[in-house]
Amino acid sequence: MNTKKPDKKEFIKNILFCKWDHVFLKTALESNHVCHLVLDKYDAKSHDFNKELADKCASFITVSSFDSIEELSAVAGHFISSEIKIDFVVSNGEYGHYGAGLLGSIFEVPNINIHSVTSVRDKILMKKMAVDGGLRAASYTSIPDISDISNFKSKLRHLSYPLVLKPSNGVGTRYTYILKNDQDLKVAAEEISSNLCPPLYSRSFIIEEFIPGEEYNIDAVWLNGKPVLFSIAKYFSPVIQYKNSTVGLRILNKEDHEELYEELYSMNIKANKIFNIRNGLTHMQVLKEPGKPAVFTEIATRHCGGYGCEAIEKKWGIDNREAFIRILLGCEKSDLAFNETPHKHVGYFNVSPENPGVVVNSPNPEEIKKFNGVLEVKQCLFDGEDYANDYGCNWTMLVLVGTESIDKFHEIVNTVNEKFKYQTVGN
Amino acid sequence: MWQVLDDFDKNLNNLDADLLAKCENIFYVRSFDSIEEIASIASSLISENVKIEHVVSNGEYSIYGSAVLKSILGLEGNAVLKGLCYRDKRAMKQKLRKNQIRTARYVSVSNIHDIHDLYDKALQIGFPVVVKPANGVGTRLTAVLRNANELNEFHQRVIAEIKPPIFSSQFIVEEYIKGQEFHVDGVWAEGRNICFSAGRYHAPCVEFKEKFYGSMLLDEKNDEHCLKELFELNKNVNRALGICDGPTHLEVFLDCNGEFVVSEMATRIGGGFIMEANLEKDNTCFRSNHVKVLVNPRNFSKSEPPPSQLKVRYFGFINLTPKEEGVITSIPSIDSLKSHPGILRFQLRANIGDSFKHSHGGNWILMVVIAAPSEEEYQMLCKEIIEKFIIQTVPFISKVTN
Repeated sequence: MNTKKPDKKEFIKNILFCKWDHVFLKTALESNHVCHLVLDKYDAKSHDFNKELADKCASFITVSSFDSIEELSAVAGHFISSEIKIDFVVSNGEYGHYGAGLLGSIFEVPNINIHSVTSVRDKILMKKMAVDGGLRAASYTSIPDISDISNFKSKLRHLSYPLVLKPSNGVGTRYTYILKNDQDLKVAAEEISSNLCPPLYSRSFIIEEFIPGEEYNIDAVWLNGKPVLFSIAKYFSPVIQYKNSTVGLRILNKEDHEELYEELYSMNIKANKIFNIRNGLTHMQVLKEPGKPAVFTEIATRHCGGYGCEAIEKKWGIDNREAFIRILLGCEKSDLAFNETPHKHVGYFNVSPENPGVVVNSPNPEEIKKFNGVLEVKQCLFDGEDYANDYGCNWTMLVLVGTESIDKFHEIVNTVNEKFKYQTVGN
Repeated sequence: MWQVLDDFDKNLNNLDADLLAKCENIFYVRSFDSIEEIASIASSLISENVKIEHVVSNGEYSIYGSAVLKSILGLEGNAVLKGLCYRDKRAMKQKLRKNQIRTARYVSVSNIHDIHDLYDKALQIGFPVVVKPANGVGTRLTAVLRNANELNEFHQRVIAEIKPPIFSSQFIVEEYIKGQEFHVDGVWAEGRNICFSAGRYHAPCVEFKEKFYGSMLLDEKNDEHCLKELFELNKNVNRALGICDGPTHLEVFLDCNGEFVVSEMATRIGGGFIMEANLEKDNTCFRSNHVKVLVNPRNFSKSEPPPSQLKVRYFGFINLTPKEEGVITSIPSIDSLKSHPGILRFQLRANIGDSFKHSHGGNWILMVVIAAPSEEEYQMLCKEIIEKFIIQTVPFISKVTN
């Protein structure tokens, strides 16, 4: 753990946290700021939820969904009528982002608002801004209502198959399809129309050209436009191919990938300018073929998902969530202690069932931990729970790995995947 | 013009397809409460380089959604904060009180599921209290509670019945103001009044179960002083909440001491048949004035309605509902309604076979605009119409379970 320096600003801030994240909360509570917590029903039931930590918050309000304008406005109404002035609103993850943006706008906080959130949540607007701003991105067209495919054809004229169909407000490849022809599109649209349900609410979709190449995550924390932390990770294979391969990634060393770091840093800076980001967390995704320039896929003003933050901590010595909160509360980069990491190659992967169904036998995380090189294991899917193999970021058993060599890293991924299997029944 | 409709609107049988066809585009959302759905519309408009200049909300349920739309589109400053002060009764009351406008004393209940907290808050205000959703509409889940037993019963009902279109479990407990209740309606352009009227409810809205919901418009001559006071109050409330443009619908109590106490303000056209009563009275159309003034605020001049030459001075409306909950078995005939000399227009929103529940005051069944030469005659006409036009029901068949 890092040596913590006291926050520079002496006055106490009221921070409203949207959705559950223990690192955010712990960091802010340790700095003696007043924390308020808004959770949805999903969070309150999640395995990660820690009541003891939640009880340390000055207020704790539950809403049924972070998509409900009325519920969130009522939360704001409660704070305003109770004369509590919220200084910052912090969103954990993609699903709480619009809601946090709405609350940020109502409270007029400096770090988040509904307008800025929309530009980094809605892929149609994001792509338009990215392309207008000069970023290389896939050609696309918007589908305002997936249940009305009558006018699709004319909109696709400037695109050629293969194409990717995804929700304009999607998360983690949920409802995302690779289309090879018109028939695929018709089938996908029908399937989506009949299955679309929360946490996806909007019927607005985007169709874009399929970009071949390898997929990279670029995670950063920014202070006045300068990076406090900047990390690039490469997926084993693009997440959209999750059905055929293990979902996981490895953080790339700067010294081994200097050119890539330079290229993607420039792209991140350019994206920040387009989306008016000067402070806070960013999570950018790109696709890149060897020898070709990277193609911007999307940017989010949040931390990475899966075991990404834990991997960053193991690699760079500080969790990006902790760095973000401490910077938000007035720390400078020099206040944060970046520890030397003993692991040259750090990454994580997900052990998931091969088939959908009810889990009857899950791998024992303690057994996985015994592998030399496995740093942490987090079980997210337990016996008796349902599993649907319907999107790439459906985390089941996350394994954090740190090794001296790449070969050893991949050996662990392969061996654990071979040896530890989820068993499911039914469909 | 771009039109956004929700599932409720989509299923209305009076949608005018020809009118909709004249719009540039129609967006459908499942609910105006969904940030994601509303943000998608904003995003689509921005991406298509459409510059929206005004967002008009019809009714209470789309006020928040249109505020989010305005906010993303960069219209009207902090539109979501304004939207909150127009919809959330606690934020609204706080702002009014800070501006020395009298309202009922109130306290926020952050989770209606916590009955102990609700009881403590009721004691803090002192029985009798009014409890209602912080973002409620039309007396839905609203009650006057006189003691702990009533509070218990009400709490059980709320827990069982809270569902969309009430999404939040945040409530407000208020001091009960005994007295008459008024509605005050206006359309404004850059702070100027474009049209104005006020009416007195036949009984306070919260008593909708005991009395028929409706109101009588105040008369310019006989109620001049009261109208003047309400006009000034409306202007003060506008100032406090930062309202310069658009429609307002203010609800006010006149307490036992003859003082006005603001109940709440809405930035929408008055509901029920209030606007139709105004149309019958002096041909003032608040809705069309609202749109005309929105498009051209500076060149729109307030047209003073001509002094009424008619002997009839008292106009109002009643919402006729069944006395008992159940399945509707008979409704007055259209001919009988048309032929009654005191009924100027009507709207029937129920059919035989429909279910009726006394769930809230804004449960419109059969609305009639009525008129009479004097207030006394108006009251007699009200009584006569209520007695004559009966909507009958048979009780719901309750399910028997073993």
